[in-house]
Amino acid sequence: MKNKKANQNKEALKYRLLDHEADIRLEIYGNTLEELFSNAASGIFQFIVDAEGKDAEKGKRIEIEGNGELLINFLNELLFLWDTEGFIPKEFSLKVSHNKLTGTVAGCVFDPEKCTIKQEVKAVTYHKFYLKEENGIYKAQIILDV
Amino acid sequence: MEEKKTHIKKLDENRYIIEKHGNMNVDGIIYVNDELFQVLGTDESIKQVENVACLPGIVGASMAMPDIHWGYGFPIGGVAAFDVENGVISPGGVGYDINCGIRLLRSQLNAKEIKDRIKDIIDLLYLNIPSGVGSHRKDLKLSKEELKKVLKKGARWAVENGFGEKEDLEYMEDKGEMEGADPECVSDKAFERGKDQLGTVGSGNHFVEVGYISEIYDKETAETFGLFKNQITVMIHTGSRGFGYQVCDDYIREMIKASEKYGIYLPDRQLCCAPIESPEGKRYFSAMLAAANYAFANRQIITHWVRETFEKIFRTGSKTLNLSLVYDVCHNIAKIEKHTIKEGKKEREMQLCVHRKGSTRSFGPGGTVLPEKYKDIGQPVLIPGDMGRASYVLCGTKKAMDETFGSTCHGAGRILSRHQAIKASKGRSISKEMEEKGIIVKASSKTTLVEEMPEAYKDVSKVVQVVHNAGISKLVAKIIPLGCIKG
Repeated sequence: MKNKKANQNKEALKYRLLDHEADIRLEIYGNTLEELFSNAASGIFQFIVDAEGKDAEKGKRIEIEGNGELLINFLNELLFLWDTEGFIPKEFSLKVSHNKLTGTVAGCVFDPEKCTIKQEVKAVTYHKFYLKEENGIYKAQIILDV
Repeated sequence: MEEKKTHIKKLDENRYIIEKHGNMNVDGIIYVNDELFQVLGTDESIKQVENVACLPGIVGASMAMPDIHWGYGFPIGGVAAFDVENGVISPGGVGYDINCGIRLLRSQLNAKEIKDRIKDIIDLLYLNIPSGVGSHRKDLKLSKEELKKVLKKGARWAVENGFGEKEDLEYMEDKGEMEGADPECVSDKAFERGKDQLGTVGSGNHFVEVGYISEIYDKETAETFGLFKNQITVMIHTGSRGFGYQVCDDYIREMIKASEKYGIYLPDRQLCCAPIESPEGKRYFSAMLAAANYAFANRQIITHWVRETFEKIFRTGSKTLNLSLVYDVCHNIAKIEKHTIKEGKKEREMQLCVHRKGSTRSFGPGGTVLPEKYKDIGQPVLIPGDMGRASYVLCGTKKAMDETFGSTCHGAGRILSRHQAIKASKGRSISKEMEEKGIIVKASSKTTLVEEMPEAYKDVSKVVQVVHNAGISKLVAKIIPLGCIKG
């Protein structure tokens, strides 16, 4: 019974913060690749900005080629949109196939009245990166340069 | 883990050696004493020194300074030099914040004169200098063509556009303008990210800090650097902002392909690289130089606003306050430098690509690259500590030229993870604690303040003691903080 509960918790868990002296290290989970990608994005933005007070108000079409690592490219693209437009992703409708990601990200634009900035994430790095499937669950590790 | 440790031996009081093993091409050398070796924390940073030693064309040793800690790819505090003829250049060996660096301004003010004004100064600095994510001055927005000029000219662009004095340029590494920067090697995305961020401090450990000289260790050198006891100083720590992050990310993707193309073994993908002389290597280097110039211009513009702030507070002209540059140093960079390499009894001069990832250049006396005023004594080395303890001014040495490709440490180095820092700060007000110590801190984000609390860092005094004792830079003066603005 206890094990079952632990498994359920693990399934519900989107990401876990692992220790790192200087940067942020996350292990991210998902039942599908798409879910893992969405969880990674919401995970990162938890560290960047608190935008609970705002709902998604616009959608962005995203198309990422897997030159390098698809997940890292996707996350760095979101950091670019945040940096240049103040775009905060909230809802994801993604499709990952053949090392290509397409879909829509719905989000809001930073509003200093309703959002609180937490910290700057410079980039998602390739250091100790992995993305693997274990017992039907996708798992990835990313380290953020902050 | 035990097996790995068998390769590590104490070399002398201030150095540990990781003997070459496995795929390492050279030894690893870490500048730490016993005490700092014990707080190395995880073995990850040691592993990173080993990984760098595996890269092709590395010369001498893969080194790390006493502020070493776990980074991504290279360790923070890492120094590695590659033979220009058969070595590599790695964006991960420079980092995302290209030419993150420090500059120090001295003044004619003394600590007593500003004691009652420090809060006003910090408040006005906070108002005048954009810090934190997303903030920028509305009066500084550049077209792409103008930004290209910044990338070519660096700090000179800033001076030509009214930010500071021509004399400032003399007191920066490479005179604040690295030759060979090519805006054509920079992506549209980097331009997009860079256009609004010039003249911004950023967040994390970046800051503008007002302090005073509390101690002088070397009177003669301090005099040459224009420093005296109780003198008010201002330190600026920032880099190339989103522009640099984008350049790094763009080229890491290219270098992952290039490493495969050139058959380079990578113990960690963040170490992806290309031969310095390859088209990929040359393109990255030209783009990196552009980002380095962006950072020089950034620090120069902020310097101008620091001066304006002081002039307004003290209602006096720039000549009276004389906020002039002691020096400006880069600590995330790759530079082509000539070094004399000892091979047995023979010596030969080599052209090297020296990567400093969280490490400061520490050139000793002589050579042609130092300002006339410092030529006979060596360059100023500026080492900031955490916001609550101290910062140091040191001087470059000949021994650094002989041992570390003219390099030394760059700061204190973290010991607590950001998560641990947040835990340790529960129920405390860091800004109040700082105020009780007599230090006024203004930060745009509470998270930054907590993560940057003094106990998250090693004691910088212990770090600089190691580089001083090892002789790779020598102590000149100590600075105690009075107040700072952070992102």
